[in-house]
Amino acid sequence: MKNRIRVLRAEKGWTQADLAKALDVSRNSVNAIENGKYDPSLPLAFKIADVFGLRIEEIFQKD
Amino acid sequence: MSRFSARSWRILAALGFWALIALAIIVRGTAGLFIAYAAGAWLAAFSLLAWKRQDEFERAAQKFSWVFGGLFGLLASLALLPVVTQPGIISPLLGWLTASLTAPDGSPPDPAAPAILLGAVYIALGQLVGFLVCWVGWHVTKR
Repeated sequence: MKNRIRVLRAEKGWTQADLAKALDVSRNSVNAIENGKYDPSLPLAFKIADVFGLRIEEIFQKD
Repeated sequence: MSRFSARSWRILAALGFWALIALAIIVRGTAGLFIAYAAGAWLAAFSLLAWKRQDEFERAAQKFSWVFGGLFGLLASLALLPVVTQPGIISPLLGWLTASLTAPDGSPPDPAAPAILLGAVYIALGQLVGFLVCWVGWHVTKR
C-alpha cells in the first residue's frame, strides 16, 4: 500500500517524532509506515487521517 | 507509574525476574520454589504492562517473532538434542542443577527433577533465542 504521509508531514513541517507523538506511536512505526514497510491498522489509519484533516483514501492508495 | 514506557516495563520485568530467580537459587528448597513461582508471576505481570504500552507496530513485531521465532527455536532445540545430550555438555549441567535443587538439610532432589527442569529450560531458551533473532530481523527489515 502506498501513502503520502512523508509529503503531508513535510508540508506541515513536522518531524517523524512530532507525528509519532501526535499519533501516540513510536518513531519507528511512523518510519515503517512512511516507507511502506508496515501497513497500519484501520484505527491507526483513521487517526492518521484525523491528524492531517484528510480522508483515509486521500492518504493511502493501493499499489 | 502508568507513564512508564513499554521499554521501562520490560526492563523492570527482566530485572525483577532474574533477581528473584537468583534469590530462588540461593534460598533453594520449598521456599526457593515459591520464589521461583513469584519470579514467573512478576515476569507475566510486568510483561503485560509492557504489552499494554506498546504501539501496534511493536505488537506486530512481537506476535510475528513469537509465532515464527518461537516455532523455529523449538524445532532447532529439538534438532540440536543429539549434540546437547552429549555427556560432556549435559553432565556438568545436571550436576550443577542437582546441587542447586538440594535442600538446605542436604537431602537430594528426585533424580528426574534436574533432568525435567533442564529440558524445560532448554526448550524455553531455544524459543527465546528464536524470538530474539526474528524480532531483530523484523526491525531491520522494516526500517
